[in-house]
Amino acid sequence: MNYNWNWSIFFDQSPEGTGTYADMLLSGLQWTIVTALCAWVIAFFLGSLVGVLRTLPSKTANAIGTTYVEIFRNVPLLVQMFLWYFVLPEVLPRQLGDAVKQMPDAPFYTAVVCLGFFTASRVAEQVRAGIQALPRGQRMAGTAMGFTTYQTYRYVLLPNAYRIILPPLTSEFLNNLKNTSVALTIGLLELTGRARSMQEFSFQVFEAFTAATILYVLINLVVVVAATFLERAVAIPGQR
Amino acid sequence: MTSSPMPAPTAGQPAVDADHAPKDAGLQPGSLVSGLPKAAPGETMIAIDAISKWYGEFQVLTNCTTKVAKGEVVVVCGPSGSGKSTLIKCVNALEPFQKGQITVAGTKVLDKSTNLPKLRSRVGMVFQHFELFPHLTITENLTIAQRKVLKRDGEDAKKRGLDLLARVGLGAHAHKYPGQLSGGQQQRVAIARALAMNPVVMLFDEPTSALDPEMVGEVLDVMVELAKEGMTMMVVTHEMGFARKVADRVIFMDRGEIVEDATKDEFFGSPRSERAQTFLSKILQH
Repeated sequence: MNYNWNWSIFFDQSPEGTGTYADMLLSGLQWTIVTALCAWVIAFFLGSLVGVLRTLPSKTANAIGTTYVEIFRNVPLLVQMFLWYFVLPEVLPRQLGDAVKQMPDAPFYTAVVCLGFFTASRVAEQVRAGIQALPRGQRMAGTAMGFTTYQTYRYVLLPNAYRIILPPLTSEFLNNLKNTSVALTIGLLELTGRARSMQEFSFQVFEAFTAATILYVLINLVVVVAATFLERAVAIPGQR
Repeated sequence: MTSSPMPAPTAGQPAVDADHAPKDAGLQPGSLVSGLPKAAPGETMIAIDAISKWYGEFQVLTNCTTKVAKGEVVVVCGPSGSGKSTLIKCVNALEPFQKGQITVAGTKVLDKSTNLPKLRSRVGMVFQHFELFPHLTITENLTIAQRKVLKRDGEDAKKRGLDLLARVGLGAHAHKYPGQLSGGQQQRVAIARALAMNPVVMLFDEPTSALDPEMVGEVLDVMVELAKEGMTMMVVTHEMGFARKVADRVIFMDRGEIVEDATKDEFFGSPRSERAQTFLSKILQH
């Protein structure tokens, strides 16, 4: 292989004039983390709501929840990203569409909303599975005590369901973090996008993507360790 | 109190003393029931009037009618699948029914204008599998509905909860989680949790069926005490010993129908229906 290895490339100034290549990658990592966290807030709350809808006795609520999940789970993330970024502004009323297009950091906001809605469909399925895994008598006990449906979910079902689904939710969070890389297609300057720019400027493709790989692995390891601590912190004494 | 499996502590001893109290004291002296609204004896607390219920095409309850008077203890028995659990779950509308009416302390269950959560908060229910909330401590289990449903002050709720916990002999376990207690202990907590709401009626759905045999007694002791204190109770159970001891009436169900509704003496002395006779001979054999 005829390749000029140059590991000191990270300390060279990037042609963008905003610092070294290392700075460039780290700023990409920052965007990746911020995008993932913001998207997760949407995914968690919207996903919980949709998951709960699918466990309610109401047929209408069920239908709404199911429709949401099947739409957002069954369309590829990349297609969804394009739909939100390129198609949505065109189908909105003219003025609103223009305002969306001229929004500063539009790729960031689009990526957050798109990823949030996409991941919500997956979180919803976890939440539904968690609630359905609980003994049927728990809902009855809550209801029999005089709790309203909202109170039964708030005080009885959800606290237990979240504990059950913590491991798969961690996986969803990791997926969510890695999926931010799809947003490079709409111009978000996240880690993968920055690694690609570095490669284009410097032709040091191996160094650029080795660095990106290591950064992804490190940040995900941090998440895994944090999730393990969280699991221990919320474990219920006396339960296996 | 002679029925308690453990010796009751001497009168001067404090009920709860974390260091010295026995880990499980069994049923303690004192009142389990408080704040019951005074009403004329003989007043009807539960009126079940010709109810029928279907799961799709399948009819699970057929034209069931009975009454439970204030202070009465009614045992509901019958073979499995006879609809006895379904019947008592209809009383607090945990199971919907399509025909007939149930009236609990003057409130109609099948009525759009009835506030069901409010009605249910006045009807205590004890389940076969206890159904304590596993993520809450025993104290929290005893207080959460008092605070969130009855809007009681946190301290009042805690006092009432711990008081009842001490009465069922588990004062030393207040800080634990349900998973750290035995089945019998969990069921006693579940009874205390229901009583903490000051119910006018208590429903028991096979409260001892999921227990190891050696724990049945400690739960039945609490129920017997409750019956003696005048609580209105509807109890689905196979414990015929309990029925003989405290029941006023026994209802025998089969295939969704109330086949026999008789006083305890009539039922055990000379059941009229053949089905009840067969059932009794089967469960009393051993």
